[in-house]
Amino acid sequence: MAAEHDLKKKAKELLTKGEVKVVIGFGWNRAGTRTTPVFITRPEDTDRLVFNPLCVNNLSLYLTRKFKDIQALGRPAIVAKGCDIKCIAVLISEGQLKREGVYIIGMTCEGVVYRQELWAGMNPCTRIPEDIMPTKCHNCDVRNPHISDVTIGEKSIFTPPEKPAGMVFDRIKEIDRMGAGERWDFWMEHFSRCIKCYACRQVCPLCYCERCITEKNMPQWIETSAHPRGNLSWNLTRAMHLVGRCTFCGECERACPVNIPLNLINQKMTLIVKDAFNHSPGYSTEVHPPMIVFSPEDKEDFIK
Amino acid sequence: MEKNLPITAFEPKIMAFVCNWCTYAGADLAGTGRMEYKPNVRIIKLPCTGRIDPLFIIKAFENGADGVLVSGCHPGDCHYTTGNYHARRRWIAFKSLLEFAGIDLRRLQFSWVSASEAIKWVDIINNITDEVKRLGPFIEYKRLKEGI
Repeated sequence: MAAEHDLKKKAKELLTKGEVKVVIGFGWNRAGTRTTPVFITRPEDTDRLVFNPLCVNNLSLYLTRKFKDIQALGRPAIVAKGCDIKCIAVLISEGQLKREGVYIIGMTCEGVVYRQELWAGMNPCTRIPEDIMPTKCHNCDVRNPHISDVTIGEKSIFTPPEKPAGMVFDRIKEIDRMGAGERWDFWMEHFSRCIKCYACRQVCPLCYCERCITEKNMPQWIETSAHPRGNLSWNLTRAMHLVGRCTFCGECERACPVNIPLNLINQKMTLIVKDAFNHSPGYSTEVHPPMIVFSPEDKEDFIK
Repeated sequence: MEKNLPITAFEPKIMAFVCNWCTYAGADLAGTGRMEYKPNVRIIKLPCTGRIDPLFIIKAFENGADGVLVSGCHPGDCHYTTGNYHARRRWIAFKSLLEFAGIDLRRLQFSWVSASEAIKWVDIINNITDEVKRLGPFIEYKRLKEGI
């Protein structure tokens, strides 16, 4: 594929020139069945890089301070889809890294698969069918990367629907129509499965606290056992910490071993932030996240 | 189950998170003015509404509160200039989150009470107590606690 060829060439060039010390990208796993993150430090290894609809991971995770050993390698280049770049933009706007501190290889993208196993047996060169794409791809307005140092791939002509559509948003509407008791039961059923593995936190590029609130035990704010009471407070707290920041990369729900529909809660909050503060995260590296600023005009019809 | 309970039998626990400079002073004024109000409220004083982490509210419900009131200075009156504006943003998000999770928002109320508004404070406490009393105990959360 032309794009993949360009990507390898660009990565080789960057590493040879010494412009970057490591290229964070996608490569095949040993069996060649799914893609996995690869960290390329030598120009001769750049042939391992691939890009196709199986590249679902959000690699911007590896730019955060959770990965000190990667940061220690030196300036990185990252292979990023538009949705990943949104996360990078939020990280920059929160002062987690400098724009010049990372070389963004933006990939144009026609959608990825929802889960890699759905792709089994398909030729990676073919166009991905719409029915195995996640909701974020159906609504993607950054198939042509909006922030990048170089853009690789054919320009996409996709136009997203005006209002967010797709399974996640349909289900949010469904929940909105429920009564309070029904909603409570719905979430308790899901949260009661939570085993507190914290995969959602570990995979989230925006959960970069060195010490998570759940690890603070003087006092113990969130119970660490997998008990419905602590599960509720953990999931609510994480949702709250992502308000106005979550870019809907969908990694938390993908990583969740018990399939808690975390996208529903995070996207509900994104809709609310859009409505209340007219902010969509991830489009600019300059704009402050809405929760660290305020406006005297914020609506307060609910305050007595 | 709560319907079978006689209304008089249930006295709700209301947690009030208030700021030091306005609402606490307002509640104090109600006290010095010898105004009577419902004794169901437990007040926790914090420096500013901006100090109120949403986790406080979750924790209050976890520990058996039937209702929570959050109260601070009117916009523009914050002792720290902007603390209540920041808090207000957080509440907009947090109340929507709790609503989406299925918590009845009559159990979580917000107000601005200044240091001179003792009467408003008395009214708010009486109202929230009556309202939560009508709703009954926060049985959903209590069930969660017991793991049934």
